[in-house]
This record gives sequence, C-alpha cells and structure tokens, in this order.
Amino acid sequence: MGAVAELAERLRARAVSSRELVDASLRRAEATASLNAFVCLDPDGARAAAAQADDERARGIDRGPLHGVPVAIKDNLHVAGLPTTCASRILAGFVPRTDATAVGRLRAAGAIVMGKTNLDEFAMGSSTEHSAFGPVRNPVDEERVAGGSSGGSAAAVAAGVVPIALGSDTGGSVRQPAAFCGVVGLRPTWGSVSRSGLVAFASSLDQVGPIAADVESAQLVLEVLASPDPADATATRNLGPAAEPGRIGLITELADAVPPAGRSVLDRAVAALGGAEPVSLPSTRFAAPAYYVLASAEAASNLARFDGVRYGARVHGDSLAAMIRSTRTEGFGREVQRRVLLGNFVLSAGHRDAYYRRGLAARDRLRAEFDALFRRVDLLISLTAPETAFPVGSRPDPVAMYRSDLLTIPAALAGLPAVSVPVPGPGLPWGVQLMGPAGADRTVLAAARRLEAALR
Amino acid sequence: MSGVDPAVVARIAELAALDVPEADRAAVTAEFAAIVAWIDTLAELPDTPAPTPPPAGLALRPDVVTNAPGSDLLAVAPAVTVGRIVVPPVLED
Repeated sequence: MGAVAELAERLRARAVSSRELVDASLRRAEATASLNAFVCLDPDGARAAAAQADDERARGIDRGPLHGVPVAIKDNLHVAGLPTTCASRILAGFVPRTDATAVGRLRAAGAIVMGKTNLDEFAMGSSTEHSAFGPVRNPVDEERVAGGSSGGSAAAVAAGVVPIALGSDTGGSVRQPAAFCGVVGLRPTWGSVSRSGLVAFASSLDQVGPIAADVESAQLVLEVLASPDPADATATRNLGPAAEPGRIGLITELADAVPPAGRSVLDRAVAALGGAEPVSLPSTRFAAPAYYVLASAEAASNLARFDGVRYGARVHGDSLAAMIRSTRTEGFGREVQRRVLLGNFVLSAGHRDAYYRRGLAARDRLRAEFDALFRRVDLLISLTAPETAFPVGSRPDPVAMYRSDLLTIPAALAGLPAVSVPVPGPGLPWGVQLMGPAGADRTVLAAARRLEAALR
Repeated sequence: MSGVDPAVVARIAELAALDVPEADRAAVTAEFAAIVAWIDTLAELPDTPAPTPPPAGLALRPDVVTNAPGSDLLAVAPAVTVGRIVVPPVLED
C-alpha cells in the first residue's frame, strides 16, 4: 500500500479518502487470502472509523500522519470488541473489552484497525507455522514461511494490504519475519512502548514494535506508540535524540555464522554505510540457549493463568485439577506445550542452578559486553537472520528452529533497539539488522534510513 | 547433565498441569532430551563471576503507588454484582 508519509500527503490533499483506502485494503486482503495473514478482519468497524476520519478531516481536524491510515494488529494485542486468540485454541471465545495501550494510541492518532493478524501460538515460533489457524505464507513465495512469530503482520505489509502493522518481538519476532518478507521491522528499546494489553509471553523480553514498508513509516508509528503508561510500570518513553551515528561495529561472531550468500549481502550493507570495524561479542554463543531457558521459564509462569477458569475454552474434568490439565492439554498446541515443559524443567528443584541461574548469568555477561562495545562504536550491524525464508514444513526439528534465531536474540536479551532493513536484490529477501544502545532508537533509525537510501 | 527420561518428563508435565499420553511419552522424551542437551551449552559458561551488569540505560519513573482503577475495571467487566466482577463457575454441577 506504500509509505505512510505518502498516504498522509494524499489524504491531506484530498487525493484519496480514508474510506477509499479501507476499501482498497479490504480488496487486497481478499485477493491475498491464500497467505492466511489475517485471523479476522473488521470491515464494518474499519469503514465506520474511516468515515469518522474523513469527517474529521473535512472539519479541519488533523490527527497527524496516521490519521485515516489502515493498520493491522498482531492477534496477541487486545482490540476492544475483536477476539484475541493468540492463534491458540485455549482462548476460543475470548473477546477483550478494552484496547491494548499501543492500539489505543494508534487509534487516538487516527489510525484505522483493519483486523488481527496470524502468529505463532502465543508468539512462540520463528515461522508462523505453529498457529491454530494454519501457517502464514510468504507473499514473495507462497511455498515458503513468512517468518515468525509476527508472520501475519509482516505478510500483510509485504502484500500491500496495510502500510503498517503491529507485531511483538520477544527474541526476534518482529525483525525476522520482516526480513523474510522484505519489509522493515523495528524492536524498540525494551520499556519504551507499553505492553499493557499485550498477552504476556516472556515479560523481561516482550516488546511491541512496528512492521512497515519503509523506515520512515516505522518511525512514525514508534513516535506515536512510545509513551509512559499508568497501566504498565515498565513503560517509559526513551528514544533519545536522532544523532548521526559515526562508528559502526561488525560483530564477527554473528558475521561468521552466516553462509556466503548472506555474507555478501552483509558486506554490501556495510559498504553502503561507509564501512564497519570488526568487533567481538564472545557471549553470543550462549545467547540462544540462555534465551530459550529464560523465555521458557517466564512463559511457564505467564501461561499458568490459562487454566479454563478465567479465559477462553474449558474442557470438562472430574475434578478441578483434571479440568485444568484437560483444558491446557487440549488447548495448547505442541510448541507451546514444549516450551511450558521446558520452563517448568529449568525452574524445577535440582535444575534451577544449572539452567535458569546460568541463563541469567549469560544474559548479564552479554549485556556487559554490549555495554563495552558501545563505548567504542555507536551502532552494531549484522544480518537479521542467517538465511532466507525456508519452505513451509521443512523444519520439524525444534532445536534447528531455535538455533536459527541466533542473530536476533542478543539485542532482545540486552533490551536494545534493533531494526531490520530489507536489502533489495534478486531472489528471496534478506534483512540487515542495526542495533544501538538502550534509548538510542532514533539514532538507530537515522542509520537505517541512511542504509535504506543507499541500498535503493 | 540433564538425565532426561520418561519419569522426568512425567514429573515436569505434572508441574506444568499438562498430560503427556503414555503413547507419546517416548517421542516427547527424545525431543525434550535433545532440547536439554542443547541448553547444556550453558555449562560451558565461565565460572568466573559475570561482570556487574551495567545500568540498562532505561529511564526510570518515580516509585509512586497509585490506587488501582477499580471503577474503570468494573465499567468494562462482562458482568458485575455488588461491586464485584462475575466470573464463570469453576466446575459445572
């Protein structure tokens, strides 16, 4: 559908109406239904909101660049009146009464919610194949995955259904699908965007972030989203000034982990930015195992609330304990069960020191190494994923899937802002990732815009 | 390090409030053992104390306690009685 700034210009000039944009978005969603990007669409709600946006504009009210622009929302964020499923059977029938704070801020800025996008169940996955609604297909090649867990949001943007969508990034779930689909994905500094109304997966890692056709659009969304929030004590607007980055570091451990085709993409991006100095982040070898220990431990705790009592589906049992077990066993899909088991294992007596505490120690070590690097360089660069989108159904081994997250996990563990920028070229899309210190989101985005322009 | 076997999986499943059917237990155990073998990489983490983590660089907010927005919650609850949210019965009759 294009860039937000361009749409905003056309809306302000009355060259197009919000109603027309919404109708175009709905037509495009229908034409690309085979992607399975959406869990639900809300044509009536979207048309009503578009009518209101057009009416406001006619009365001289301008809410900013998102006013009248269609957006899609990952289905682990609450939209009042629409089901929140998290792509799980266990939440069948659950309809939230209020918006997530991030969704409310988009609406207050005039954005129009088109619907909810498909995801890996409870955002646990890297391919959007672990969904109760079936896999999301990549718009570039429908035989391939869209990446995950925000695969529906990335596919919806890449297919031109919406110019922007919200995702959530726990270990790379905004950036990796954006890379696989050839669009921009931003993970803001942890805590800069409220998670109120985001169904929790791993609270020390979860972050809401935009997926967009270009860097400027992602930044426009971030500027709307970032804010303190009385409903989320961790939310603090903390984006920093838009400084022009000087020194860029190339993390050798991450560069060495990619195949030659990826390395040439990375080299092209480095050259486009005027070069980068090699730097070392030795603890990256522990990052993915530490992430799967910590995230699974937090997931085991967060998902304990899904017990058939308060939310969604319930499966009968002869006792309270039997009802809870039956509901969780039938309600959770296989990947979620795997991670809940792993989380309980690493927190259980006899294993806590070997796994959970060591996971925390690895995270501390990684954060300290990042901190030391950011005294030498302003930004770090790597590929976003060590591969392009793989065929649907081709990766049944969970450990192989987990290992593929190795490039996005370090920034997530350290709470850093990171953005994936698509690299144009023949074949399947690649993404290049820029990472900065916590609170340097605008600097990261300034470099991303420079990279985007240089690669065009 | 892990010693994952079917008995361990059964015990963890009980902690997780999940059923692992007998027929699936061998496959789940093998898959789980492979994951645990992978996270055993953490055993190679140096024993020297981890460097003191730097401040996360995140802005802090005042540590002020405020009252929960009770009336707002009740306004959006599906059902309310005598100032409380009505929830479904836990067990059917």
